[in-house]
Amino acid sequence: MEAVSYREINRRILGSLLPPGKPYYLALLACFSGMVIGASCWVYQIYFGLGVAGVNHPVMWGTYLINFVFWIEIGHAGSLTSALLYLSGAKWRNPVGRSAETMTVFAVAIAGLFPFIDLGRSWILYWLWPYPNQRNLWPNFQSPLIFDEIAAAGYLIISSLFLYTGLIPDLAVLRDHHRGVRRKIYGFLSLGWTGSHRQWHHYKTAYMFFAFLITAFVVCVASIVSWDFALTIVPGYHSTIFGPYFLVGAVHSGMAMLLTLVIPLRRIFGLEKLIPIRVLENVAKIMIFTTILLIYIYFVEFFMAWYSGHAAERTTFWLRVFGPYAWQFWFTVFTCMFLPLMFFFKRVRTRPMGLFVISIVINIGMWFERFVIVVGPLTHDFIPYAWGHYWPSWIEWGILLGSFSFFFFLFLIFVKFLPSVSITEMKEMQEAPVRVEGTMKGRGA
Amino acid sequence: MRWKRPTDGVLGIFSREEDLRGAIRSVEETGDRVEAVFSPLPLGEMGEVFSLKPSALRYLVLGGGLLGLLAGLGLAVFASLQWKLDVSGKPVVAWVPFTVIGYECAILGGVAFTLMGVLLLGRILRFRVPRYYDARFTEDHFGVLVPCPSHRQEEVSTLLKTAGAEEVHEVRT
Repeated sequence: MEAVSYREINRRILGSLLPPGKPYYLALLACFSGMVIGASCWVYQIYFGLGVAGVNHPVMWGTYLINFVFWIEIGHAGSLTSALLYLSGAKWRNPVGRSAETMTVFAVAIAGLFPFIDLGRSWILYWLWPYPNQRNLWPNFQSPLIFDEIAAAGYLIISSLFLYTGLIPDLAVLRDHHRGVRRKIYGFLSLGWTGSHRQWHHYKTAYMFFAFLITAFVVCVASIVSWDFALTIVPGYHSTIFGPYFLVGAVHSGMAMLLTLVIPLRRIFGLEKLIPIRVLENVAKIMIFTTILLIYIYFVEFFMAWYSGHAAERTTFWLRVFGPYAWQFWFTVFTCMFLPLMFFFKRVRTRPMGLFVISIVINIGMWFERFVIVVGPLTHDFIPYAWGHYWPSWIEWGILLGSFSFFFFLFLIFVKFLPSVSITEMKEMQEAPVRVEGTMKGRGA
Repeated sequence: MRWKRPTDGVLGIFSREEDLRGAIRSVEETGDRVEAVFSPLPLGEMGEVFSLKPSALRYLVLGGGLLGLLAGLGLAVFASLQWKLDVSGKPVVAWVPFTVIGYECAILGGVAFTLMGVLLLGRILRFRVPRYYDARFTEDHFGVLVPCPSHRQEEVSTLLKTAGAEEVHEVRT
């Protein structure tokens, strides 16, 4: 990375918190409009009932479940980028670690909305929680849906605390930089951080434990989300490969989303010096790895369906390729398995605009991948007379639009009030300055 | 002579890490001790300088994890015994699926105790900074706080200036 002084790091990153220009407000307005559309659709559904959504027998899991899986898996990649790369000592992750952690928190928060929405009667969600009641009814802790509920709620708590812990020293920077009300707010949030050696000593240990625990939790949550499907006997769902399949898919889509967020961020706020192209290139290299894994998993799924000799399994996979949802499948194959292989070419993976466009297309493809996984098997179950078809209604499309708008809205708000790049971790990447015969030597000088 | 409580002292402010290290060495050579070092980023060698033991946080994380595990398993067992769902003779208290609940709660417990531990052990949760604190410590400067009685403040100030301190402030409580 190019040499940048500590003061320059502060100046550049805090510069992203200055009053924004018109494009920022336009983007905010666009996101807000999308949120209003999504919220209106949800209110409409609550008023008229779940019948306004496209879900009906035999497909009772539609876009709401697809969105839940999509968003929670976006979150997984954020955690893994930040935590796993931190544990492995890959310092190149420092410039994008904060964005990845933020992405996780917002994505998981949005994922957590979809069980509410899918219930129809959202206000009775508390029935899922264990609480003493007159009828002595308790949740069934043997159900993967209860595993998932605890996993999603726990994941939101853990990822929020991980993000906040990482922010504490940066909040102190903001406290010391500002005056007036902002100073008071940032001062309160930084909890009285001084940067003393004692604080750093315990802080670094805590951060390491957080990274370790969140990595262990991500693997668990990804597997548990997959068990919502794999522990049923539906052909196309009932597979032991679902755990790693969902984890790899999560990293794949999450890395694409990270590129979608970071590329405009570095351009708009002039952070090219702090987030060099090498960082984006490394993200693209990880995606090459996940693409190859995904191709292997697809191959194994199809092979096992054929090798099992099970008529329903074979039919499900035959219909996946040639059935009513064939175009979604082939679109997924093209966007998520063929397109990322372009990253083998250095020219492609070192062009921010190319990376940005490909990352958006991969995200759309990964959404359709979940569509194929969730909807396809339900439309063609064991009993032919119960076969059916599903396509989302305008209410579901509206809520999907609302979820994306809400995600980008939250991110836009975040980057204006809190540092989108970790100031402390950027300083850690610099070589310490030393005094040599009256001159300054070293990157931090 | 060792000064037990940081009542009075001297705060040296440095712009270079190398000077900071030199100042710490000089202070120790004179028999004084450094109460605290402030820096905008973690300095790995401070653990050796202050002979810091590995953080006790690890015991708290382990304790939190075990507590979470027991709480998760306990809740699952309690709930299943409250409403016995007897299906095809399968066990009501099913340890295999309950392991998942236990695992999730163990990590939640570990995280909760990690946060509490860092706030308590690092003495962070004070919501205010000391009066002698300098805002440049979060930008690009380093600080060394040397506790000493008021009659020695001048001597220590000279020592820190010689070691390369940009500024020296006398700290009074």
